[in-house]
Amino acid sequence: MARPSASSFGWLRGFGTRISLFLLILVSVGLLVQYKVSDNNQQFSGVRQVTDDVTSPISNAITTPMWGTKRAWGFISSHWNAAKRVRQLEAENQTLRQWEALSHALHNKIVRYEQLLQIQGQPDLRVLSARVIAETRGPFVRSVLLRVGRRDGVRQGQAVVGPNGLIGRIVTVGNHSSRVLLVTDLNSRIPVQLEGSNTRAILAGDNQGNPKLIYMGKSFVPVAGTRISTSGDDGVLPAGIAVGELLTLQSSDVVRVRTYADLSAIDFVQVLAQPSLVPPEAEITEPVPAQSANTTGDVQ
Amino acid sequence: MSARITPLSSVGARAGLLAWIGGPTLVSFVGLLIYVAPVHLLGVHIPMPLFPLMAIFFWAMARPQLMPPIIVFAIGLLQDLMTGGPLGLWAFSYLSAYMVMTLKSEMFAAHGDASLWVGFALMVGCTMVAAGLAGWLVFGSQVDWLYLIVQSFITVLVYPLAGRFYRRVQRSTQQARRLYDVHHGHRI
Repeated sequence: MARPSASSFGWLRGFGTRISLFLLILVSVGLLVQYKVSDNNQQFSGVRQVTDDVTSPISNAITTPMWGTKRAWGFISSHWNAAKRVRQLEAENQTLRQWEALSHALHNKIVRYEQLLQIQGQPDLRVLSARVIAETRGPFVRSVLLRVGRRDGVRQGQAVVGPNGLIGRIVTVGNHSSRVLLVTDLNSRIPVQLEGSNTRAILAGDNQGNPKLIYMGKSFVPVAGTRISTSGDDGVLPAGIAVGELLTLQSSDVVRVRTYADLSAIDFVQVLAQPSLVPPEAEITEPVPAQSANTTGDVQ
Repeated sequence: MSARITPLSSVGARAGLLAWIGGPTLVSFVGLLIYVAPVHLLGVHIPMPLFPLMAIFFWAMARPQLMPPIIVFAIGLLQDLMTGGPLGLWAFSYLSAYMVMTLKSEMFAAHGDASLWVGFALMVGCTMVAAGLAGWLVFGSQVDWLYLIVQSFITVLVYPLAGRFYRRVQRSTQQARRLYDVHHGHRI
């Protein structure tokens, strides 16, 4: 451990150093107060983007051998119970084949109905795979850093999914990196809908393991196991992305959701890039000219 | 007592001085990168120890002139930026703990490694209390105190190992500094 010099902190008695320490604490408090009163996620976003861009290659270099080791360990450990896994997968495969046939039939039926009703479907999503290079699971923030950025087509607000469901959304985008706010983060708010009913709610994170539902409406009766997906009401996230299911109500009135995506160990994710829709009012560039020069309001 | 060592080129000597001055900051930065690395144990996330805090404590005790408040502030600010948290939270926490440590540093320094470890535990406690209060100010009651406590324990447990590494770095940079002194004709 540290063998201190005889003058440990003795220099600090210097007036200048004390003043600088005091001033720096004041600056820190000032920054915190500014965060509190301003739009939290947008505070110093430019500086954050630059920091993420600069540090992401180094983080990538650090995590590369870690992922290599993890993959090697996974490869070795998978051989221990290979026979058992094969039997499990064969059984699972049989079930999935039945579901596949059903899903094809339903898909064809939906396409036919949409053609008959002339429904405008959802725009096609572009999927971008990315690796997690840094992770923040502190007591205050739940976010991960991806090694893809603006140059790869990532934009703020896009949905990020794992193998089983929604993980979060993009909050900051740099040229080569982007930050994902997890659904469990305190600042995360995702509009969702409950399967089987048309109930809308907001999925809100509070830095706990399972996010909670808020603004469900007074008539809402929670049923454990109800599936939840994104509603797309914010116009940013695509509708229908699987999120999770309702948990059994505990003693409190808080309704919590078990996410399908495993948020405890995220390694690879997919960013869903949805073409942005231009609202009609934004398309109007010039006022429509009047039909006639008669502005007096005379109507025949 | 004086010693003459093989003369070093001017560039090498300056590099030695730079290593001596910048070593603690660089080690803190590397600690920060490890802190944000996605490490999982058997598929479960474990709270990472606060490596930057360990480096701050070590050099604040061993060579305080190499870890002035402005560097502590910069490390905290960088941690806020790299974790995507509120700007100023970790800077405030580190500086507050640093200030408290200044009052008791000589007491912990005087009784060897065990008392230093106790001193570090106290500094971790101060940091977490400051971070918790700052988090409470910003987020209200939604601070994960359990996470803070677990992270504090892990940080304190890991410190003796990290401390050994920091001591090696300190010796190396000290040697580099000596070479600089020799090159410029200073007696050592």
